[in-house]
Amino acid sequence: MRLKRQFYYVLTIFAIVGLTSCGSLGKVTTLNPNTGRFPAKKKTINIINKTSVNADTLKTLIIVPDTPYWIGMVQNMKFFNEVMTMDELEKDIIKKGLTEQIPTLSNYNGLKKAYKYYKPFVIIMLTEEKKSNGSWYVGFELFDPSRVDKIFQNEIHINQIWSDWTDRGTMYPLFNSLLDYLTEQK
Amino acid sequence: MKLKLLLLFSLVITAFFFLVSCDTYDKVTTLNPKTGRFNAYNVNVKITTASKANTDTLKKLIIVPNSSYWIGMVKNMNYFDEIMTFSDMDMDITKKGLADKIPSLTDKIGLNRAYNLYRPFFVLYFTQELKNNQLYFGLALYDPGKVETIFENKVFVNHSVLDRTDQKTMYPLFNSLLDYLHGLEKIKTKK
Repeated sequence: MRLKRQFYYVLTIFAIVGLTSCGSLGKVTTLNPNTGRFPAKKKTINIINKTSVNADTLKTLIIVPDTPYWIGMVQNMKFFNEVMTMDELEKDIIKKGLTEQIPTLSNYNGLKKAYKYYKPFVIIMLTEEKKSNGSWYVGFELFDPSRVDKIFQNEIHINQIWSDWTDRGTMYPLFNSLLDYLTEQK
Repeated sequence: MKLKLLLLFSLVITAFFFLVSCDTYDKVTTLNPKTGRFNAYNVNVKITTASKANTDTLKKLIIVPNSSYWIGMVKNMNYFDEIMTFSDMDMDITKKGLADKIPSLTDKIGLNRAYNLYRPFFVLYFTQELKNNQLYFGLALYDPGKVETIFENKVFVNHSVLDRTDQKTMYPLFNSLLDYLHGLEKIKTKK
């Protein structure tokens, strides 16, 4: 359990070290007050899927990967009322004595129960995919436990040879595209 | 041709190093009866967390990773009354008909439920950390009842495989855990 997480963590660190050689990656930034968006290069983002949802419910809580980058960036989006990691969510569920109703968070059923008995939330994840034509894409996925489905998915092409996975060229454009989706919800 | 020779030469050298050193890799060992510790090099183990814990509960049952190395090493620490792997615990929970109440052992909530509904235990696990391009191995002891890690240590691991032996990594880590556990006992007897 923990070991696997540690392993992924080490892998991520390796990836970050390898990729930061050109341009920054993993630096938390704030919104440009004039545009309401993160400072990014103009990039083509593919929106794979977007579902309209209730904005008030959506805002309640978001669960982010357990790194200062994700916590910082999502907080700085200034959209969600609360930002937590899975670890914090688990601890709070135990603290509030809700484990009878929510006996696990390791499967969809558990997440659905947490949504119902704890509070509504969405989970954001980073995706990486090598398409059949050999090109690499990274993107975000927003998962809604009550629908047991993704409500938003975007992706951006990255050139592996030039390792152009950077903040301004990759991550900030993805965050901006997510912000576009979030602010569209009514 | 020259390259081949060079390769062969380097292989021989490597083999030589492996053979002359008495160090081992992933080998279960026993405590040295004189010192009460595992034979290890005097490497610097850093303790990052060391909280107080109830040793009566701590002693009773420890859950270790699913491998004979972990079972063997923890058994040989001669500290815990009972050792189980995650798989053992999962089987026992299922046999006792508690699986519906404890549907998972892979998260903190599941472990907390197992602690309360099955029986109290602690979890020992292995950690790896890469910080400023330096690799550290460590041990961590987790209390599912309090939902907190009560002990954590780490040792710097050299990039060279020759330096990743039991005597330079795992045994010093286990010794530092032993020191912590025996320290807890001392606090208890003082009271």
